[in-house]
Amino acid sequence: MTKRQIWLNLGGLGVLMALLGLVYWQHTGIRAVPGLIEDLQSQDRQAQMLAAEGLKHIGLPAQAAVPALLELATSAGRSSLHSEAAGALPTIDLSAARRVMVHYLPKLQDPDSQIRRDAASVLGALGPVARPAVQGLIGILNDSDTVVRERTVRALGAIVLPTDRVMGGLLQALRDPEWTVRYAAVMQFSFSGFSSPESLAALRDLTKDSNQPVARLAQSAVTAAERPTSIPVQLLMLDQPVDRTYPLLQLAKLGPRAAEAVPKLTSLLMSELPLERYLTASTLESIGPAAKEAVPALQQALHDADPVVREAVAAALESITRTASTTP
Amino acid sequence: MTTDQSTHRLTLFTMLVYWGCILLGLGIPWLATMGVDVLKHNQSLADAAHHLDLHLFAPGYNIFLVGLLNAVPFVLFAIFVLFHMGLAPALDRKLCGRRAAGVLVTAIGMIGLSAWTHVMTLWFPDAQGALAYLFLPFVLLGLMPIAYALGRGLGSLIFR
Repeated sequence: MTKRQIWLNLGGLGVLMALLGLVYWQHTGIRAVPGLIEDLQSQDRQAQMLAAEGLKHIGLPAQAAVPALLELATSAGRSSLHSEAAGALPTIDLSAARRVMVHYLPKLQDPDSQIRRDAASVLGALGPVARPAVQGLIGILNDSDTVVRERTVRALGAIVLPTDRVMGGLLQALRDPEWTVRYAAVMQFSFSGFSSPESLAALRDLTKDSNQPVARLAQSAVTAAERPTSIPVQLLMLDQPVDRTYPLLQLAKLGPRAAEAVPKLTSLLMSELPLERYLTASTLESIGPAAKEAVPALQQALHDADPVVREAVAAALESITRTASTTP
Repeated sequence: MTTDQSTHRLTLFTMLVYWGCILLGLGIPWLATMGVDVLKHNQSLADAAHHLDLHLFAPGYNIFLVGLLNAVPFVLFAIFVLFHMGLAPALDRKLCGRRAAGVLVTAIGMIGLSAWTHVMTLWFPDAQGALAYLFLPFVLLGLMPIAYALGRGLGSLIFR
């Protein structure tokens, strides 16, 4: 081969790599949104599910997809699609996620158990944004349908906030007569960092459960509870430019014990992402009076552009100042 | 055989291996996905192509990126082939034959290992299966000199 031929082939490889890069660029980030909206509006269920998942990862820049996601989350049809579409909304638009919650909340009382099951699943898919639904979910922990109770437990585990009420609901579910419900409840303690002296005692009892999978999972939950959540590790995770939902919720579960995270949390109140600002304010609320130094930043955040964030900020200020004023 | 004929054959062989390696390196994960859909999940070829299209950029699947990752060792090998075979003296039949044997054994070994790994990962899905996609390029890079040495040895036996 001549040197010219060799360089031509290398040039061809360069062109191919540039083309592949261009294709990747066109199909990722905000540029992918129009195509994903088309997929949401198609009749192909798999395409709809993947599009919702893709939009969730794109987050805030996928605002144009909100009407299509709302339509998919609340229309009649398959529940798995409802959950997938609802699960995409919190990273894109908190208010739209709340609208889905408002749509499903009355369905928890529907006479049809299938509708109650779907409602619990969708509320769980919304995650911490569905916090106002916690009371309603706790109300159906005694539902006659086992699947409703199991999905309710999973939903509570996904919503997390407010931690004290969710913990109360999960403790109740640990004593459920049906093993699948107990299993779902124990799972929240095994993998999600929920822990309290009451839950530890209940979990120790469950290590002797007549159902082997429940007993084994309870044993692992007891082991997990004996390993306290490390605040420095959570702070390190908050410094990474990735999804901060997990470390923020872990800190919220710690409550006042997470006080050393307050300076970092204060800086996160200025985050670009409404979901992060919402979770930060909720975490400060869980910490309570120990988060006193965050008050000036919270007062500034009362003017946040997002109404759901403003509501969380107001709740955080109330928790910090009210409890502080009652503390001697 | 004339000089022109030898040069032409060598050029053709080099370009075939060069572009074959690049395109197969890129396409093996995509072909494996379609193949498993057709053979294991009894999908039609059109459905398998649609399934591939949906998952190319989908979070958690990213089959497009898997193709790019798989192609890295193949591209490096293709560049090696371009210079190693492209600059070989076409009239030295013994040297060209030995080099071609080394290159062919390496290419077949890499394609075989890559295809087998991708098909097995998809055929027997596992939570840790995706790790195979991360390790495979390194394994292929390690395989390259070993397979080349084997092929070259074989070439020495054939082209004495």
